Amino acid sequence: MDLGFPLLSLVLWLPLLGALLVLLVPRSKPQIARNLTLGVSLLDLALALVLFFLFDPDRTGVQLVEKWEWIESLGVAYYLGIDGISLLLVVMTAFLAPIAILSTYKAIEKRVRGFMFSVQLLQVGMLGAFMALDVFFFYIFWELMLIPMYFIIGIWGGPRRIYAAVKFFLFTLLGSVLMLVAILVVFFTHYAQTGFYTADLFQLYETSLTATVQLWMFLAFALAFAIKVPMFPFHTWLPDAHVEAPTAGSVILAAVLLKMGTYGFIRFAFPLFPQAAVWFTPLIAILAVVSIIYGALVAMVQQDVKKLVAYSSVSHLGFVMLGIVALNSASVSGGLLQMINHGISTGMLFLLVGMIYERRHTRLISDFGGIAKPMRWYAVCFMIATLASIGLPGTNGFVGEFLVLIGTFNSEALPIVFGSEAAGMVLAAVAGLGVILGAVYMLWMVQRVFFGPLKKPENQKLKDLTLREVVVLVPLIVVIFLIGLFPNLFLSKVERSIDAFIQDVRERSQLVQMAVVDAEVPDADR
Amino acid sequence: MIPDSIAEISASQVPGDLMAILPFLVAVAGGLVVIIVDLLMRPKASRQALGILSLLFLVLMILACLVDVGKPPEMAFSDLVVADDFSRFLGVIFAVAAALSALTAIGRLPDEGAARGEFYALLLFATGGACLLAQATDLISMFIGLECLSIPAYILAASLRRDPRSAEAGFKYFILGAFATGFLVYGIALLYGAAGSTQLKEIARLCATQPWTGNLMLIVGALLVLVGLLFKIAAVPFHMWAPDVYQGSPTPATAFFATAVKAAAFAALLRVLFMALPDMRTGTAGYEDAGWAGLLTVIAILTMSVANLIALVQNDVKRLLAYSSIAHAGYLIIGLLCNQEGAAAILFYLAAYTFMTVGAFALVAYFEHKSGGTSMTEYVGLGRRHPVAAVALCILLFSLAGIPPTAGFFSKFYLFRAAVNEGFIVLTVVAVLNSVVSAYYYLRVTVAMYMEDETQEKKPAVKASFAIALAVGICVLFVLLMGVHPTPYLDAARSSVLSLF
Repeated sequence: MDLGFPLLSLVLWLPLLGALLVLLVPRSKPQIARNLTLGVSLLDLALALVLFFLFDPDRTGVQLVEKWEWIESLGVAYYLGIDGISLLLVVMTAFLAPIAILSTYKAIEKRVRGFMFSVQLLQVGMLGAFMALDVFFFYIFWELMLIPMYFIIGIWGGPRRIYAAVKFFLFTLLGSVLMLVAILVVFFTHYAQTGFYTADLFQLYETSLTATVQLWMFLAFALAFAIKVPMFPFHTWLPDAHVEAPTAGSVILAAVLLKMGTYGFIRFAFPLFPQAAVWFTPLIAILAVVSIIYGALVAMVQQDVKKLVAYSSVSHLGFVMLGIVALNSASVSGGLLQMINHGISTGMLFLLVGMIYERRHTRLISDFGGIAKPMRWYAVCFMIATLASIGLPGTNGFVGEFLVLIGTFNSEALPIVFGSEAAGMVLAAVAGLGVILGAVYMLWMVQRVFFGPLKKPENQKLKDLTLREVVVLVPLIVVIFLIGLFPNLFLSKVERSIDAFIQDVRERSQLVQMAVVDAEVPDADR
Repeated sequence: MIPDSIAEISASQVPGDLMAILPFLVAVAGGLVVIIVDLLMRPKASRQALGILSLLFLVLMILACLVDVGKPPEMAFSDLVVADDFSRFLGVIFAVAAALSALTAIGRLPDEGAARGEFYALLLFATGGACLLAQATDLISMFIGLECLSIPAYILAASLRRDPRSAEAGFKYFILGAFATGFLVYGIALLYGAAGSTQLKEIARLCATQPWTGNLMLIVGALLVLVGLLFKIAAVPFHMWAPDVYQGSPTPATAFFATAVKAAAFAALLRVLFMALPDMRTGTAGYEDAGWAGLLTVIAILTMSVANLIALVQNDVKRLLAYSSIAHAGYLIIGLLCNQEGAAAILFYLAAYTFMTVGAFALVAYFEHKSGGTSMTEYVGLGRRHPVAAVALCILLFSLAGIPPTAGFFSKFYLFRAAVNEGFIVLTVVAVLNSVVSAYYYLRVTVAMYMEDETQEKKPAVKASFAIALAVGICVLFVLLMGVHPTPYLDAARSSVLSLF
């Protein structure tokens, strides 16, 4: 559907307008800056919902395309468009922004305007990265996200904020500059083959690269995305960044920024270099499973609730990666849904941790115990988020994890690339162990924090949720059950896009032929 | 012996010839006017009016460059100089760099007790020299331009007469500059011996007609000329003077050295490499790396890596920016290897680099207290004390680091694009990794300004100077403009390099 009206641009640039407006607010009136930002983000959410309902799920390919020349001489175009995959991520990004902003009303008291400016600029970067279909244009948004997040962690963060902010910046930049070189190589190879300059992603898909070149290019892209996801062993920036970032920063970081990595694999690394992707699939699959188990084990021994949730992200994102490499419609749908779920449930957990931190100024598990008594509704919300995070049936987490596991178990791709029939089953089994570990560390933490004797006197006077906090949490709870009970509402939007992705990668990576060859070999033996 | 070309100048050509060097003449005339007006002023009177006068001439100079844009190259003074779009593009860069430095000087020098008229006069003379250098198509005129540029620069470096560091900077700049000039002149002499002419195109003809690999005089001459020019751009291993000179000189002069002088030396390098020595780019078959391309690859890698690594440990912002400017020369050298697109990328990069570097130095000048505090600790808490200036410095630093949406991003992008196009993948990877390293030290400044806790006693806010604010405002504006809408500048850079090939 082409509207004749640049709806995507409007969704994309509205936060920038908001950011500029915030600068005009006098310094002495922080409340105006907060309300203004909240208002803009709600308006943006409303537009994103219009997007959601306008999107036609029965069409393959990208929709609502906007394409203009921008820097013709460099081959950079202003090219936006969404398919089902980016649609969900855009809507999630827009959905979480007002929630994150509302959560800062009490937490952020210094330099409110600067914070609101950064959050909205970050919003532009994230939305742009999900919408851009010109690789250079994408790269610009990808890097644009760095600066505001760097300041959000570095200015409004915890005691080790400077270390965390600089580490975050350098890790991400390191990955992305190598990707830039790879983008340029593909760009010029495409030019050499076709005779015209374009950075249109879908045209670059058609570039034929030799196997060796593909491997190197895939490595460069995969490094950028693997750092962002983050996959073991590139995850070390994440606990630092998460723990030091202010609550809203952690929410956005976990919910949206990490998804940039997995989105990048789906949109860029796999379709651009399908052969290399298949070649690397065993490595990625193993790293994904290692991330699942490792993240869970490290989360189990954390003393700090926020750090525990941060490591649980490593584990959860491992499921997403496993779903992507298993390369069938169940697993990829599950992976995509898990991307959204992780945004909702982990985002909610970070919000809840932030709320208790505002009251007690500590996050150590040992400082709590039995607080379900004074904070009854808080405990209920925390329990819901926990159950969603560990994938209890009826919540969103169940659908996502279940689809990933079943997809992995039945995967046709994994046995081929591993050369063993049992590969999918083994990976699914180990990942299933991760689900159990996830339940263990989450429930154990909940038990130590909320139940047992209420020993500490400071904890006895804890106040339950305020109205503002309820308003922050209720939309998340609604979505948890909405996805949990009616997953098709969302899956129907992505079905076509995912099938197209899988088919495209399979065909061009010659996985299909490999499968045929594999099937023929036993015949020949007979 | 005088080269024939100089002896042949005939009187009848002169008026047309003068029109060809109009930007140079405007700058030099400006310098002379400033000196005369300076003499007529009362000794105690403020010299800011002279700064404004010099700005006027620099604006005229920009106009003189712009009116002829698009005209075909025009040789003058018996082919000693050429007026082409390349020299016009660079002329605008020199004039802009000088004007922004002059604005910074208007705001800064009175505090230093160094507000003398000569500063502006010397700035204009040096700008004129830079113009001549960019126009030179003959080694002799190139040498004259370089000296016209360098000698005023030595004096500018030493213009804080009461500050021993400034005297040291001037002296060091002079000694090492003279050393570099020595190399250059000796190289010119050898090239003349080999080619029988100092004309760039005659040298190119010699290289084209016979294999250069056996011609020792040509090789040594070319090497020495290259060394002389690499000294001027402060490429590693000829960079030792730069940090001391940049740190000791008055900050407005440093801004000029880091931009206009560097840009002028790159102009000369582009002319020499592309107009005189294109055939020495690579060696004979089997020895492809033996030409200047191989040499410059090594120098580019050294310059970027050494400068960025040393910059990591600097605790003085001015010195940090000095190392950063050396590192940027390293990136720029990559452009020399990439033919036409590379040359265009260099021009675009130089334009962007001028705005971000002068802007950053102008802010250093702004934050400098009377004690001359440029150390990182002085920057702690600036985000709170000077919010607007701190944001401006952030934008300029992120641009230097090459983060979008700034001019710095597109200049690196265009340069790396040219390099990948020519197949220099490994070199590009080294360069992008270097830009990650450089991001760390640019971040350190932002960390100091915004994130570190203020432990010192509250410093009084520095009085805002309108001139510096204007200079910084222009720089930030162009850094963002070239980052969002780079097309006109890219197209100008592209069409400007056509006359080199």
